[in-house]
Amino acid sequence: MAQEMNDLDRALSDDDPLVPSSGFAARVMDAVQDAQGEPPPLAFPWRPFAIGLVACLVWAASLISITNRLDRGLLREVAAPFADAGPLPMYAAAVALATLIVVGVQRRMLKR
Amino acid sequence: METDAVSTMPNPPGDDDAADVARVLAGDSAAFGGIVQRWQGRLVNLAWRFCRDRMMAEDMAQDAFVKAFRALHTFRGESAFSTWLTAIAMNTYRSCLRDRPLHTVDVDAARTAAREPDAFDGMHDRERAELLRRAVLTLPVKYREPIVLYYFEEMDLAATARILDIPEGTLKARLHRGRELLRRRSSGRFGGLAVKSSEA
Repeated sequence: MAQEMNDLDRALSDDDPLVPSSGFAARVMDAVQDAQGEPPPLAFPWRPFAIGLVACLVWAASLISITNRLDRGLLREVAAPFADAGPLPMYAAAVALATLIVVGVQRRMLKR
Repeated sequence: METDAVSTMPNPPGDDDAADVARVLAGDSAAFGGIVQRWQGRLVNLAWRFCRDRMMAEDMAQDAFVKAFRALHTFRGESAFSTWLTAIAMNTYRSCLRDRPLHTVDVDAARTAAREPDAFDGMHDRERAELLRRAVLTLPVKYREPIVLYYFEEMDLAATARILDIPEGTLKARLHRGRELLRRRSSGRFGGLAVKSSEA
């Protein structure tokens, strides 16, 4: 087994060296020049991400708080015309409203 | 004359590298050419040992040089330039080989040899040694990298551990396990193997 290991060592150590092709260094320098011309990779926008995250949390907390404080009677009154249709129109309206708000906010942010 | 002898002596590689790094960081990107000239052999040969394909090895080495150029400002001189550069090359080769899995590399013969013990019979020593080197490529990455780098670094445990950024004890364990896997795959087939060194 020791002999086998020695043979293995020898076989792996005595690998024939490979000589890089003649134009290799020039190709590398061309690639380096190209890399130098490229703009630096964009860093992750941590600041806007953090602001957005905080805004989302505040928005969610506000929504929960407002929902809890709302006069249930008022909600029932607003929903009365849809009462016969079951809860589905309410969900649909809420989703549509939320979508409109999100799209509106995005458009305003993009304009900036 | 002694003075002439000193003045014509080349700088130690570390000094040349430090000087070229400083020049590149000062805006002279052409100075990177010196680094490429000095280290191209090492990086191409290391890549070659991971893929046994000349074109792929040169592509991988080129990627490594470009990454090193981009990361040159992170070289603080805390470790030798060769260690820093080789570590970058290892990371580059790892991701290159992940993108181009082994089936695109010519290791079919090695796989066959690993599965069929008789495949080693009737081969010349050089062929068997080459097959063994290719068999290394079929090892799990965890064992392949330490084995390739350990022999590339002329069995220098400390240097290999530094480049792979693992403790020497872990490296020893991986080397032991990797060599054992190789030995088992080629059990009895390498007895008396005599590989002639540096034959073209």
